[in-house]
Amino acid sequence: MEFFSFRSFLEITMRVSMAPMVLGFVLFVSWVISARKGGDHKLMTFLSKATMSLTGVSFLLCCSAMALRYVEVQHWPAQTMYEVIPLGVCAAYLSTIALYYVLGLNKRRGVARAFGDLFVALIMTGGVFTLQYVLSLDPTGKALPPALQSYWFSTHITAYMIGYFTLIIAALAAWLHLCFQFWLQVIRGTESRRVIKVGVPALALLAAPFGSMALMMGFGVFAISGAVSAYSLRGNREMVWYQSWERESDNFTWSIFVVGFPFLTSGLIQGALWAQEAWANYWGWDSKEVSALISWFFYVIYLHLRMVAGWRGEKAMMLLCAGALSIFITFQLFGYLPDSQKSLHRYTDMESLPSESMMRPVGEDAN
Amino acid sequence: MDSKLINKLAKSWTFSQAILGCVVLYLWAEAMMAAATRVVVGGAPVGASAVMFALLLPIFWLLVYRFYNVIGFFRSVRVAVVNFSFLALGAMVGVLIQQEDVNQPTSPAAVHELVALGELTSIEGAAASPAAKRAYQQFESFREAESFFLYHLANNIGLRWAIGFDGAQAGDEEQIQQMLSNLDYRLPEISARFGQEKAVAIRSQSETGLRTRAKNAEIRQLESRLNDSLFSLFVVADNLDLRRAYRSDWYSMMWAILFCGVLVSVLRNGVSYLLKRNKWGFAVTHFGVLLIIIGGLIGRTTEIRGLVNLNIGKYTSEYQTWSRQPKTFYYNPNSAQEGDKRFALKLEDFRADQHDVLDIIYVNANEDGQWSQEFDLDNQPKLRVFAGLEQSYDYPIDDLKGEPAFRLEVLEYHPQTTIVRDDTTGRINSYAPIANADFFDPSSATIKLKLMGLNENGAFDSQEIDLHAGGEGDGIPFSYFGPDQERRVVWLRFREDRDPGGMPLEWQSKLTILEFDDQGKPFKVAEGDVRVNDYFMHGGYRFFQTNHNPADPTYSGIGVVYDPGISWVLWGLYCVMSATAFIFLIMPIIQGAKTRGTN
Repeated sequence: MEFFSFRSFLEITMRVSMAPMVLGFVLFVSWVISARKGGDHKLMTFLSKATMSLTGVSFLLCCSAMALRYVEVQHWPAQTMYEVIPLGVCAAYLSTIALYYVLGLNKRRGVARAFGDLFVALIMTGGVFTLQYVLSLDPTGKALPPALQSYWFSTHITAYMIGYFTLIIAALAAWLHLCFQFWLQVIRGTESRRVIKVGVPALALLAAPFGSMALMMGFGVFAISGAVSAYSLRGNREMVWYQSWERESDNFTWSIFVVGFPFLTSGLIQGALWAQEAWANYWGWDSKEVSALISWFFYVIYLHLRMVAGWRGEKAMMLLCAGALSIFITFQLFGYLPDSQKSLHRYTDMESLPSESMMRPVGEDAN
Repeated sequence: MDSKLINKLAKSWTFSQAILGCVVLYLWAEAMMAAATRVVVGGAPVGASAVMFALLLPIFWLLVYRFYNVIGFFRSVRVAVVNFSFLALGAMVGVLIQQEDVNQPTSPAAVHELVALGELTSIEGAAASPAAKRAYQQFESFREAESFFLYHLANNIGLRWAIGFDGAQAGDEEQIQQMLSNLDYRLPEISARFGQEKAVAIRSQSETGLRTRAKNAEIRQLESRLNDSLFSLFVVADNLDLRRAYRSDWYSMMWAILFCGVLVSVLRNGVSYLLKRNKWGFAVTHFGVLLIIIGGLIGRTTEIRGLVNLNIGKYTSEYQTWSRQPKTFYYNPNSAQEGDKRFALKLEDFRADQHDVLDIIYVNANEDGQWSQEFDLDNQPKLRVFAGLEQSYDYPIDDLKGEPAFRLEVLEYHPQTTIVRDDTTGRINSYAPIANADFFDPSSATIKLKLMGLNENGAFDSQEIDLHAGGEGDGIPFSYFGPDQERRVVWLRFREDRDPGGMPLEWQSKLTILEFDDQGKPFKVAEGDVRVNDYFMHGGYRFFQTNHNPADPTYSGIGVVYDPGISWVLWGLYCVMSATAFIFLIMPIIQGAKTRGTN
């Protein structure tokens, strides 16, 4: 296998991404332990910064892989799932780095870094397993059909990828907070709020059918947070490392949403503008378009409830999690939906020939 | 207007009341449109008119005596959220229930006829009208799509037992694994010869194929098992307009409520309020939404969509709408009368440009000197060529990262070339690129290839050759020694890719618009090229490339759209996109910079 090839660089990216993943988890555990027992934070702070540097290296490697694929297939590498998903991983890494600084995670001191390290470790875990999945997919490069030969092809899909993965990160941040809140209530036996007590297990169950990644991020995070909470709260102690996050989590998830939502909107609208150029039909009620519109509606509802109706905290975060499930359905499960069988958007499906026309083929009689 | 009172009234709406209010309006829209249709189409005009009047009365009463309550309803954020939720739910219905083809609507009478026929497993031989037969075909498509969805849903969440299937997966897993392990035995050789990607592709495609075949067999079983239930669902979905969710009156009402809500919210504090700098983003986004809805409404009431079938050199003023109605190109199609000014569309030229590919086929010579393929693959490797393409083949089987024994590089690629022949012998001398070639020039491509292969001494021999895609000759063999010192022969064939299941690189039509003088003689008034993603506009019509027929290279199918609402929608889309970016990305950056400056 050529060293300077997409596949080779994907493998390297996956291996390098394991470093911030492992380091992030180790650091998180160290912070939790040191919060109970005390200890030197200098080395851990240094390693915490190194985690982000390694994330940066992973991002650059992933970008290099995409550039190599561009050379291999001679078009923006976003046609098959073998290309689109790594583009999404690139977007997720880029969002992680941007959010790290936008949210001021780099400026936190001591145990306040714990949550940030866990957050980065979970995103990198998602990246590693996603890339591993990509390497099992059919790598055949396909020629771009005429409908995809447009300047919108790169911007539309890239905007969507940034929007999708940033909003999934927002949901992950919300989910982490919700899980810790759940366990805090369970372990402390304090007055429980129904939205947490019922909503969190319901969301974990709801995510379960959406594949191994959703299972891992749903039940996996739920279980890890339970174990960590049990350890931290042993002997009636406080979760010191979590306290600053508990206060800021709502603003934190909102800030991530604010970054992702314009990209989601832009992706949706660019799709309409592109369809207008290709078929003089800005909206064809194609099932992929409608699935994307449903996700957008979720976030518009979240936006209005939070900005106008004053929804804050857990209720609003639940909506972010539900929005991520909607994105997952649009992005990965769309092909199973009944109305998707005649969709014009089945370009990433290796088994089906894309339909170029909104008309029936020549000679096909209406009768 | 008393904005304080309106705000108070808006805040008084609870979520339950908002749901109730919205549902009442959706039902009102359904009833109103049903009555209006009866009045317009006939049937029972007197009774229907009375119903219409009765339905309009409460609306008038509300507008006259409870105007502020009406404004408060639309101003309420809870109503907006509830309506948004219903819009999302309506869209979900549209995704989960297979939608009818807009060009082939199912008539209610045909569905009633099918119901009267009772339980059917096939329409073959049944005494049914052509409309009922067509409706049954639509049911079959519906049944297939819904079974496909239900099957995968149950399969993916481990509820196969619920749809009557045993085992964890479809098919005989042992047999599938046996077949895959047989394949795995051959893959290292393919991986060494063609690279790891080819081996992964074969593995992935084979596994997908085997599993899909097993799943499809189970889906067919599920289809027959659920036939009656799905038929009931089909009838209910048809009666409730769930099969045409996006064109239903209840869905239109949701958009109407959204429009009123946005309008009232935008104007709640007057126009001057919107001119404040921090309200620009809000104003432009919501103004954009209004434009989109207005444009959509204009489109829905006036748009015409159709197809012109043309062959090179032919012109016509007639086209067919999607519902197969003949139409004429008038300048104002919605108000045109016979004898009004019309125009015609002429296809001056058309070409479907195919991808140029290079086949890489390893061959063996049999005892009779005949070539045969060394690898019996479903898809022999083919490369889409471009200048600078480099590929390596034939790695040592025990070291896939080692030195390849065969490399090729495309030194030059000329998409359109002419053949230069010897004047006396007529033999091909060379291929000359055509400078500034027109897209419609069908000349074939030529590549200059550099081939490098190991010789028997372990050194590389290199050779440069020209290959033309024009069909003269079937390619050339190239011989080298593999890493195992065995002689290999690889057949290189450069051609235009017309394999079944493929798509052309591009298709394009050259069009002219003709008008007619007093004697009916056509004269040219405009011209333009159309390709997918690049339409041509004339007289409010948009013409775009939509069909071609590989069996008839002179044929081009030109899509026709007349929709005055498009420009409204486009402005709306630009407003929403730019204002969202402004509010959420640009403003925070500007404000952050200002704050830093102050600090």
